[in-house]
Amino acid sequence: MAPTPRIAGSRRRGGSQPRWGLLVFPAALFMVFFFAWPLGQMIFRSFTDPAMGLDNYARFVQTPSGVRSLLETLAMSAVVTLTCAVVGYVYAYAIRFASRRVAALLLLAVIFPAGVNLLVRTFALQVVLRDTGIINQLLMRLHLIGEHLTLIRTEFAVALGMTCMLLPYMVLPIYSVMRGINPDYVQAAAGLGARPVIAFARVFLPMSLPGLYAGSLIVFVAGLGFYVVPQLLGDNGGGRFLSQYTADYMAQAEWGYGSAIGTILLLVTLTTLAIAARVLKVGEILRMSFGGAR
Amino acid sequence: MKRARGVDGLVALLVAVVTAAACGGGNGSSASTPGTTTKSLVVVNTGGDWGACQRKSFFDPFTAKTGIAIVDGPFLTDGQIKAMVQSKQYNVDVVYPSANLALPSAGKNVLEPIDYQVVNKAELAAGTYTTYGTSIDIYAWAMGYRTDKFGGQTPKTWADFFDTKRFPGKRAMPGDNDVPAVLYAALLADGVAPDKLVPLDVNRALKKLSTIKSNIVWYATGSQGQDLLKSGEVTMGQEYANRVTSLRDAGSPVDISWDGQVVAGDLMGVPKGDPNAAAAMKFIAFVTSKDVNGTFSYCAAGAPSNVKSTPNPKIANDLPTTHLNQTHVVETSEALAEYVAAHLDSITTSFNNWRSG
Repeated sequence: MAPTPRIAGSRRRGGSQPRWGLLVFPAALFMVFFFAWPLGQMIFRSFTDPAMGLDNYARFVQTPSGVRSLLETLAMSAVVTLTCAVVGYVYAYAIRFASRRVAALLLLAVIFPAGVNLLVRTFALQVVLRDTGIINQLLMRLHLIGEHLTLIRTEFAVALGMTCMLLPYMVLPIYSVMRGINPDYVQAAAGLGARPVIAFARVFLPMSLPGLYAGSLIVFVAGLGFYVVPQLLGDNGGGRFLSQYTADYMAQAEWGYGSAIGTILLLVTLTTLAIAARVLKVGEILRMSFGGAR
Repeated sequence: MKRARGVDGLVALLVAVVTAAACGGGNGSSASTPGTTTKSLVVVNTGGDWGACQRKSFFDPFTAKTGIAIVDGPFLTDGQIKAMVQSKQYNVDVVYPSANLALPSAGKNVLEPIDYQVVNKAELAAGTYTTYGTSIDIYAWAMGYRTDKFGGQTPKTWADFFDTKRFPGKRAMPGDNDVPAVLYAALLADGVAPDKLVPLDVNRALKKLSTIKSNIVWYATGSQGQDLLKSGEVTMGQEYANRVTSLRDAGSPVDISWDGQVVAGDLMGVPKGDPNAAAAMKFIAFVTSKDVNGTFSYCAAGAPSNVKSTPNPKIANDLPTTHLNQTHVVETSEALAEYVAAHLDSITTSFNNWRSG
């Protein structure tokens, strides 16, 4: 995990500014002690506690509820990434081409809720979605429905809740990349005879994709670790998240088994990132999204 | 383009801040360090009305008597208690182990044996103290129900709980909190006598639970269960008894049935090797003593574990201990707890596999 920026830097820049690399040391030291070391402990434990070997992993593979949780976690994160991508792209596009005042308002509307505690927002959604909640009461009072709609304790509720929580991480990188796209290109396309749809699809969309990829990566990886939202909005039967499943065993101090599950999730995450790195050139994307487009 | 770049920087900064805000959110646990000479003890205090009542009836009087200050500590799960003992970082001197951890088999490497020379167990209710833990109060899982949903019919037993034809609606059960209690309720409903629960027939319990599986809403914390009943999301629930009676007293259309209640004690224990163990034993003895133990019921609906103490007569009818003449299960009794502790892993796994299936 320890980065070696000095070597990489000196190779590329011919050793002209090696001293700046030293600035990374406090952060690197911090990461080694508070991230890499405990993470290593966890991985070590998964193979040694209670006994040496692959027992913990075998146990997980042989437990249907565990495997089901892993699949549910992956599937739900994928779905949420997709909904965030669709909603987030449209939203970012709206910000990009709105007037300055409206754009500022739209941006605030994304960022402000993200500052409110996740637990509070999840409870708020519970009040909105439940059988005796705002939506159902309103629809029943208007006599649009006779029996309450089943909104809460469903996978739909989990997807909705997670989309709410993760949308900012999709919108902001996309918007950031979109800001760097010169609208003159789109106009030029139109001037050369492209209809608006074609101009968007052939010119604007490809240039904005790095933002979309970056946002999708962040949302997917963050989604894998969710606990509160599925706990409070999900049905907690078939669709339990891996984090919920793990909590049962951590409370019983089964560190080895819990560590194995953690390691499996880590592996899944790293695999995702590795594939993304190959296909999408992650470094380039992140630089474009967060370093500001040039 | 200078301005534009500034905005991009701002966006990047916001992403960073928002990410940090979302990824944080741990439960800032904050136990202070106890001195090696006991001037103060850190005792778990779970807060709320319950915690305030504990401070008033137990903590402050103890300080007044002994001069030892009591500092509120965070609740620790069994896993956290074990971790604390392993690392010898004694942040909390008096903890709440589960009934399973307080047993001779599980507790010996984690907890100090309760010093029954100091704590007077002769006065404590049967089944509410073990080698490594002493109940300071008695609580119960009982059946709470809505009085406005069944057309005047009143459910009485766990069999009624499983009868969704006569008593329609959803059921709240603490599947993320106390799996054994859920299984006891199902077995009682299926006609098993309380003294025949061991060995626990998990498959039979799950078969019974399957009959209402689609109606069950699983919950994790007492407040969630209470909220489900209060909002009418469920028409019945296996709930903490005190949470049902407090809802009723606050005007909600709910009531409680004590038949088949699962009684348990809030066990206090002391981490093994704790430098303040002697003072901690004194504290537990004080809290469970005849004159002190009953005072708690004047500010919270917790029944005294000391049978010689006098509970608040006004709420006597709402205390689990008043209804022990009816069918009940004592969850903290050694026979039951010992069996559950020995099989907890397979019970949890069977239950999870069934639940996710």
